[in-house]
Amino acid sequence: MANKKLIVLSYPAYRRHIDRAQRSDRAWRRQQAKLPIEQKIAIVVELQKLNYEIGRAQGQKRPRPWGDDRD
Amino acid sequence: MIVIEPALQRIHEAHQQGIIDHYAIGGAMGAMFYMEPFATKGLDIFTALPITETGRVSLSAIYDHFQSLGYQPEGQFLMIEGIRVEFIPPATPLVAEVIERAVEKSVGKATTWVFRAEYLAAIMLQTGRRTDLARLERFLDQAPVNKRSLTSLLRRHNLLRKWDAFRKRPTA
Repeated sequence: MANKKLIVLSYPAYRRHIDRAQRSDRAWRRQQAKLPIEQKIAIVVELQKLNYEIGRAQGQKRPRPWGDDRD
Repeated sequence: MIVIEPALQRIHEAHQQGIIDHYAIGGAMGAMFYMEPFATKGLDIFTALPITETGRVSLSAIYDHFQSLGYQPEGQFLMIEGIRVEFIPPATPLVAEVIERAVEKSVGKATTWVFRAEYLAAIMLQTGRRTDLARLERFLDQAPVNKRSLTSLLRRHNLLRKWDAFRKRPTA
């Protein structure tokens, strides 16, 4: 096993890291928003299947295909 | 074949046959026409529904029509071509207005109507659940929302105070 080092960041460095991650996340989400609706719905259907399977694997009797999102 | 296309076609045919009044897709699926995809339970169709003599909203005509075509209810939904569809009457003047002002969209060969982006944002704000406000933040970042139209809409429906509170809330 490789040696692990604990890296301690200063608060400004930590904040820069978080801001960069958030910018990258927003950019990725904006790209997703530009997908054709047909592709988005295909993604939703896959998400529903996945949520259903996760629910079943957790032993839920009636897993909800939409997961924890009540909308 | 696009997974939702047959369901949209059946709904549009029901509209053309006079079973369903003018309608529009709202809710999470409506938002998804403008923003990133996310898990959701089904398709929310907003439409005016007939009122019975006792003053209740009636889904009978819609259910009779779709059940005669072999589609079955599942909880609060009708399962149409593998898609959970819920027919919802407008609960506020804002929602009644959005149905009238919905935009026509094509999904494959199916034609449908979808809430305008500004109206979806206003409804998320009006509904105001934590999940709606979290989604509204992402929606405003991703969707082509005309800020002037949105402000005018919020003013007409008395939502400016809520809008101010939303904008001033602490974010991560």
